[in-house]
Amino acid sequence: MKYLRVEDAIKGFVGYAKIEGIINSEVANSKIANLAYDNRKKAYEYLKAHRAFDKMKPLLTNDNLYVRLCAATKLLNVYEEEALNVLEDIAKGEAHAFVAEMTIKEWKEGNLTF
Amino acid sequence: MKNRISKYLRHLTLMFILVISVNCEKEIAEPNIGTEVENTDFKLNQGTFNEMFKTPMFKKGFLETMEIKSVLQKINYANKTGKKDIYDFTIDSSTIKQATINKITSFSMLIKRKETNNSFFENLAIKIDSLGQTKAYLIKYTYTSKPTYNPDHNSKSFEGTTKVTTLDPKLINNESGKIQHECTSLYSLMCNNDGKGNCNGSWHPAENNCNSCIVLKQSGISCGYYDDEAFNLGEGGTTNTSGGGDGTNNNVGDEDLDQLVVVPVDCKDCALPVFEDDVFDVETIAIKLELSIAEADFLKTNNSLLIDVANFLIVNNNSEGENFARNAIKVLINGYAKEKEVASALLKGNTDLAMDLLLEGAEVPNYLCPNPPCPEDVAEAIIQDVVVTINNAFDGELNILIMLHDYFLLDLATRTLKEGAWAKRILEEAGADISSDVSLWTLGELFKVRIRGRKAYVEPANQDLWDTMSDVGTSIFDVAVLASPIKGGGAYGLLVKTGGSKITAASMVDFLKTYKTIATTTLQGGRGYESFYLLKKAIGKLKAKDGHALHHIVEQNGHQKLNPLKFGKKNIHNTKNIIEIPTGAETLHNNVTSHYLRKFDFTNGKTVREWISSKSFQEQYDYGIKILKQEGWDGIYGIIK
Repeated sequence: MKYLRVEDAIKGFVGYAKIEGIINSEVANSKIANLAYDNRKKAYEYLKAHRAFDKMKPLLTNDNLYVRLCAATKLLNVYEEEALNVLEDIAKGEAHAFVAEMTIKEWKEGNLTF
Repeated sequence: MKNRISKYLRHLTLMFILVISVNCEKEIAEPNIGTEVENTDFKLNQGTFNEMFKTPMFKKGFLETMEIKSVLQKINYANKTGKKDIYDFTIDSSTIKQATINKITSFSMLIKRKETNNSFFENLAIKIDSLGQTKAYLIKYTYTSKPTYNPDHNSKSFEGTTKVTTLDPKLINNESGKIQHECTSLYSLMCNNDGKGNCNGSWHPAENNCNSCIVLKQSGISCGYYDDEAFNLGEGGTTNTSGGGDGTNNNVGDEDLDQLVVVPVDCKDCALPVFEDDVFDVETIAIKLELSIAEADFLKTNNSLLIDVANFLIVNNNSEGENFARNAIKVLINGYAKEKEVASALLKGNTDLAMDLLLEGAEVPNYLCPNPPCPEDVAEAIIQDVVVTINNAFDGELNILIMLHDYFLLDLATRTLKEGAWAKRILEEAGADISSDVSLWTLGELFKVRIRGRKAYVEPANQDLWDTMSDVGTSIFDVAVLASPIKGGGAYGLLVKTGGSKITAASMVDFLKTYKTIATTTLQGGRGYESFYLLKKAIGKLKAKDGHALHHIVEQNGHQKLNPLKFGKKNIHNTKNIIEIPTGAETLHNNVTSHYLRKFDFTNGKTVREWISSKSFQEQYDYGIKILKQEGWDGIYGIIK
């Protein structure tokens, strides 16, 4: 998928994050999950290249929990406080808590790349 | 008179003691290596090129130096001097040494050229002053006599001259293309630690582990080694500096004289230089080797053998070398045809041919399976030594194998390389796939080759390594893999760091013990086995119960299959690291396995399996437990009693 507009990349980011979230909680299919991950990454690369972090920021309050998680992860180095709050909330819950917890841990240890 | 002093200073002779290892065991007299300078405010650091390049100062200095080099090369080409390009060199990335003194830092590194000449070695030095200005130099260390090797100290000492050439486009004469000489006052950081914490060993270029035994020595004033006529790599390095210099910087004692502090980086795997005095005639050799008249006559009538023996003695100028040459001549007179071929090959330094001949038809036990996957019931033995039985053609009157044993007694540096070559050959003969990036030197450090009867053994280099390998459950093949920069799963960097810029048996022991300690603490109370097969056999589960699988919490293979190597097989195949859980579609086992194949943002887009491979045993274990619980494990089910 090649993006030409920020809006399309945002849609792609959200769509693929939703797929990942479903697979994470519903089926153990690493191939499909990784395909979704790779596509979401492409959308993020486009957004990053266009410095469209402000356009990503609303995703921190998206209805879908995994979209919130993915957006928060990618915005940690831009909107650290807000992003960490989102991740900490998810980590306290049940769904995707493990991924959120690991993300916070790796961020605090300085291991995340963007 | 002034000219004579100047000439003397330009050709100042230095005595260096270069040490290949710091395991100095005996005290020797301190050589004259220059004047000690009172200044204790210096720092030393060393690392590989990749490690040093991570530091902003080295990165800046190196990139600027490469710019300077590029400009100089262009000027050189533009002038079409037709001479060899002194700027055409590559960097030996294995060791970069950094010296910092009075806010001035220098980095020195060995450089290599397409045409090698063993009569000297060269360093590129990059100086960065307190204002951040970069200046680059070529330093040439030329042997003036044959280095002598002291096996007790594992050190080489030699007399030599140093010449420093400043790499500066401004010093190039635009008309002639010749470089003008700038005089540099050269200082060297030397060290005399004896490997036991005392500062009374032999002097050698400072290294990281020298601690408080480092001293700054003035190495004299050098006014460049290069001029258009004199520099010729094919003919050997010259110390002739006549014709150069602009006269402005040659005034010794001038406060403005350029100063450079370095730590020499010598060439450890280069052959020793050959000097005219080393050449022998038949009588000299006969006396030296105490040959019988018949043996001397044999040598006299065989000119090519005479040359081989003379060359061999030049390179191996010690009692072990003489002993070997003496035995070789006896074999060449009385031995079997094949023995003669081996003796001749070894005298010529053709160890590959000698190995081919020796291992032709050799018997290697066929129970080894060094490269998994292997059949479980035959491949699980932890092999800590490898034996080959050399064929019957070598059962001659003068046993070629005894001669070979002597061959290994040659000087330690040579022996390490030769032993490494033999170990590699024998391990490969046994079926191991030794990675090409593992140097012969490293293999020689880690393993020893022993000849007993008609059998050749490759064993761990010392008892400590052997014991540690047994304790952790690491095979000789595993150790060879860990030493690989590419296949060693990150072990290489740690091994080199603890080994003082090279892999040693001691650094391997430290590495294995460290991981064992971490793993053993994590698995307290567990029972470890040297293989999965042995564990299954011991717990009576050669086959897991229906619908179940035995699951390793810290993966038994993992990314690049390195976990058993890094953490020890007994910790991987441990009752505390294995649980019996349901397997099949949408079961705990499948979900966990699938998770390890997933990519996440917190793994930076790597699969979990790849990402976790760089973590410690404890971290891998904790993660494994966490994901099991995440997928519904109650923390009790399937635990092995």
